[in-house]
Amino acid sequence: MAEAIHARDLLAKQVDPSDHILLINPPVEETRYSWVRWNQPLDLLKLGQLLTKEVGCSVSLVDHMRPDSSWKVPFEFLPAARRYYEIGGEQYPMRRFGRPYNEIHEWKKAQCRKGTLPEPTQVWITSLCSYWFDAVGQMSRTVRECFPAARSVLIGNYPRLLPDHASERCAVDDVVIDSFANHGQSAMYELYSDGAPPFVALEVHSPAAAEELQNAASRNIVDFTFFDEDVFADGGDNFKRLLELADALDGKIRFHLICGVQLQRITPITARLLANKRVVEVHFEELGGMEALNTDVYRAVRAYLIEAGMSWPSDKVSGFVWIGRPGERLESLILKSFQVLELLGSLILKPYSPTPGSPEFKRYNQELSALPLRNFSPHLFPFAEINGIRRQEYHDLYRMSAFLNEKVRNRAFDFFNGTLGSKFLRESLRKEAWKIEKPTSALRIID
Amino acid sequence: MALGGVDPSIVRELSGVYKPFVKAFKELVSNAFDADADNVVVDMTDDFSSVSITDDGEGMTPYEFRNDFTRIGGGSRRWSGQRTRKGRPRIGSKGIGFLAMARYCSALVVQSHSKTPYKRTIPLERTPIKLDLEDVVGLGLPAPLLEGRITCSLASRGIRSGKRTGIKGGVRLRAGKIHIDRQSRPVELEITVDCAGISFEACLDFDRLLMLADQADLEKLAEFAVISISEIDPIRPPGTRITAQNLKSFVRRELRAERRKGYVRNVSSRTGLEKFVWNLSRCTPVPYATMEAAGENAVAECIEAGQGGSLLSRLLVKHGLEEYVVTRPVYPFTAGSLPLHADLLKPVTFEQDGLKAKGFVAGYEGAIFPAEYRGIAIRVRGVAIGDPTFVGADKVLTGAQKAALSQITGEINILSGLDAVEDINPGRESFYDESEQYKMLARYLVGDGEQIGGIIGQTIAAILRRSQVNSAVKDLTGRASTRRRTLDDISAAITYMISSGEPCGDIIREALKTEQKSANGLSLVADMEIGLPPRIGGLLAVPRSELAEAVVLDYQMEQVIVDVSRREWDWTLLLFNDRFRVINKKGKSHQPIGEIDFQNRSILLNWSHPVRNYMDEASFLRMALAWVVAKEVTPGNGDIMMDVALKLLSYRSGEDNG
Repeated sequence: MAEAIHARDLLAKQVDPSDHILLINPPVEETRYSWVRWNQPLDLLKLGQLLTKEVGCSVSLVDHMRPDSSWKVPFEFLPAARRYYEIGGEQYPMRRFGRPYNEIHEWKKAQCRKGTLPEPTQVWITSLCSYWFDAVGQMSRTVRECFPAARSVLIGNYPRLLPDHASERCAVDDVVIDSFANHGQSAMYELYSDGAPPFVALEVHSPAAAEELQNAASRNIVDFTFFDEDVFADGGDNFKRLLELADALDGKIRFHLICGVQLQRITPITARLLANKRVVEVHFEELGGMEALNTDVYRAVRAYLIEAGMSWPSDKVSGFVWIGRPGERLESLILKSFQVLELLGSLILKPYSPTPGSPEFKRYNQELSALPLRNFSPHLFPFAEINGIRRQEYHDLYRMSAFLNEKVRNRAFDFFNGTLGSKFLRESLRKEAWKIEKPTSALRIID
Repeated sequence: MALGGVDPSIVRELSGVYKPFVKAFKELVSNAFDADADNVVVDMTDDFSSVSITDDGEGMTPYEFRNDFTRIGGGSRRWSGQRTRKGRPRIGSKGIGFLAMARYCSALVVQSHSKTPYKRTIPLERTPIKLDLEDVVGLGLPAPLLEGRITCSLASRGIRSGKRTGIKGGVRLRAGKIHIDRQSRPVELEITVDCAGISFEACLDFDRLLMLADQADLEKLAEFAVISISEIDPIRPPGTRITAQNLKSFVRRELRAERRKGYVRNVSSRTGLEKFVWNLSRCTPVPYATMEAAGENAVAECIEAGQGGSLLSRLLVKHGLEEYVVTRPVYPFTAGSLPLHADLLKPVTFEQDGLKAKGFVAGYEGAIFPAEYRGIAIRVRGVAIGDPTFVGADKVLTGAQKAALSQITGEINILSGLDAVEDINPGRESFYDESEQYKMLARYLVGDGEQIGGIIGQTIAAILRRSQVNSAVKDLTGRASTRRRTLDDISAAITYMISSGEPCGDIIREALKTEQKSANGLSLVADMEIGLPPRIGGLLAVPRSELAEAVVLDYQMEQVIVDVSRREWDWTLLLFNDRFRVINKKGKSHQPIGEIDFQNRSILLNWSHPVRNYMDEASFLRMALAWVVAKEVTPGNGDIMMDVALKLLSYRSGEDNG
């Protein structure tokens, strides 16, 4: 059983400047992972900086989720015995996203050949979501085999949220049960020693954000995203500074606002920031109640964006709609989907899963505690039974959104663009959507 | 103009010697080479209706054209000896090259000029005499052109000594007649025509020629060629341009053929023009393609003798915007060619009874593509005679030996010998089997016994040996990888069961904490070596650590060096957090299939268990480990043991060994 340890104790007692620490961002075993290309181990990159600057040890990184130059993250279906995961009578195809676990052996071989780095004395594996424990377990095993003499440490959300589960069921020496105090550290992109990653994730409110932007731009990285919960929490000042810095740095720099854009923060001022040509995609978080959206705010935001000079409908704008939350109804989900489509032009369904230990989790503790941890994946809809919505119906929602979604339709499904038939088809779907027929086909996920 | 002294029925026969088109066309290149040209440009019209060839050789005077070029057998009279003025060994000798194109085009237009004066000596028994100038020089030039270009002189020869003595005067040229006034004993009239500044254009009408030949109309055969003569700047450098007009439709069709669709490996699937260039490169005296490529220095040394000065400097083929500099490709220097190992390169150095040859025969570990490279090309005077050959070995061999021929290429340059009329057929497409020198070369290449021997036989043996060793190495490393994958699968399955919180996972986790020594019988029997055998494919197996490659084949030392520090040779099995050493035992058939010694962290497997007879190595390993681990980690619970065993048997990590 691994020892549970606090982050500060680990740094103080277990690490010294003579250590060489290998940081690993493991692959993910999931049924679907639409945002896989945006998986960047920002925590590891900041931790790398912390270890280097404050502890003085050397650090390497193996990022199994790193996209290639064409922004593709490799994936493979799991072998036959684990190819499908069955839940509620539905079979979910399972894939391993990212590079194989055994790539760590390749990395070791390459390092031996180059002879540039010492053998790691410690290997730290991060974890993004607790329900991805399978991949973390296999990664730990592979690390044990590859570096039998190294101290292995599990960090990230899995041991932080479920320390007992992690320490009992992962073949590591230590599990870190809280976060490292690395806020404000700049990310150490030099860890991508074999070439720059295709994008860089920033924290807009971090004091180091400007330095990171400069640092990345100097490596010819032009695509940036943000992992903040509320990008415009400060009224947009920080984001504006980054836009101005980008103007001074490189004409090609682009910002992708893939999360944390709260509608209630959008004012004529922040709308102007979003209309900037450097902002190439904006996905608004959902705003409203369980039954319907706060359409007044959506309308106001749309008006602000148009006033700010954004052409409308805009290819770069879309809105999230949560699905899988406890207490939701299928009808209200469809209604909200159409509201987003009408108000923003493009819809993205966002599956929900409760964070272990959160109020929502505690409220449904009795029901949730009966579920295996693997079922907590939002793509498996842990609240499906509680809500009385079949997983097949959730899947139908995906299909519907894929067909209706303006952005997707424009690129893949718009066979009748600009025709009367297109208009009739859309109207027909709007009306008939309330009477979804019982599905007969096997479950198929549309990414 | 007349075609000198040949039965027309032979004309068609001779014109049919050259096939396909490129073999006929190469005769024009050979002519340019024999005219000491350095640069030759082949220009094809966009629609392939005609093709011209321009060279910077010595050119021809109208007299040479009439007396030599268009005369069957004329080539051998054109220059005395086997070498050109520059000293090149001449390619053409039979004087039938001009007929080569007869089947492929309607007409051949020849434009040329030369600075070489035309000379003729006529013995005269009786003088005085009056001779007609046109009868003497054979071709009537316009009077203004002749003016000042003709000089005549007389000479006498001693009756006994045969010594030639010039005679002053006594000869006059007037009104197209030569007047020899002096009365004397027999004399020799020497007439010289200064051809500098005289250009000619002649058209050989092949359609007409072959039509006449069909009709065997000897009388009319004289009319198949028209020649016109003009004056040019005398300082203009000499040269020849020959245009084949109205190429036949089948030739045009072949030249404009498109590349075969899909992935193309062989020359035969390329465009018609690419095929033409490839074939031209094989049958014309052009330099080898870049020899420094691929670092094949050993090969370069072998063929360097064929790279000498007796080659065209540059042969260029143009079609529209496409341009190809024709060089002779050799497989080892071709981009993407397979690596050539030292033991598969057989240098050829042959010298016997006037035949001297140098080159190489090379074998490869895979089939050679383009397939046109397969076989041994034999070059005489820089030109390959026929297609590459296996000297009959392909007709004798069967099975793997025959298949190995697809992995052999070679190039032999004949430096002397094997070049006489009795050695090579008129189209220079093959050697005569009766040629003694060819027989010697054949014996050297394939031996003369029932079995194929010689250089080709040695190359085949070397290829098959490599194939055998590679196969053994592949089998060995494949088995090692599979064993390692099996161990990884068992390890991953245990991790999966524990991490997912399944009830059996908790039991396994607890069981692994024990340090009980449960092994007894198997620990006492001898170990069994499963891994590196003493020999691999007949070579000595040598274990080493930390090599850059997993396996290194050293044919010189007759050994296979295997990096046993790699994972696939590791017999460690990680069960969650604990490493166990898998030890293979030569147990008895009645002893258990395996045991776990928790105290020493080892798993003993009985490879003599009867079940092994029905399973391959990896299956047995998986099965034995699954049942032993399941039995030992779930003591006393049959249902859970079955559950664990089945999971261990079915689990696959889906990854290779890294």
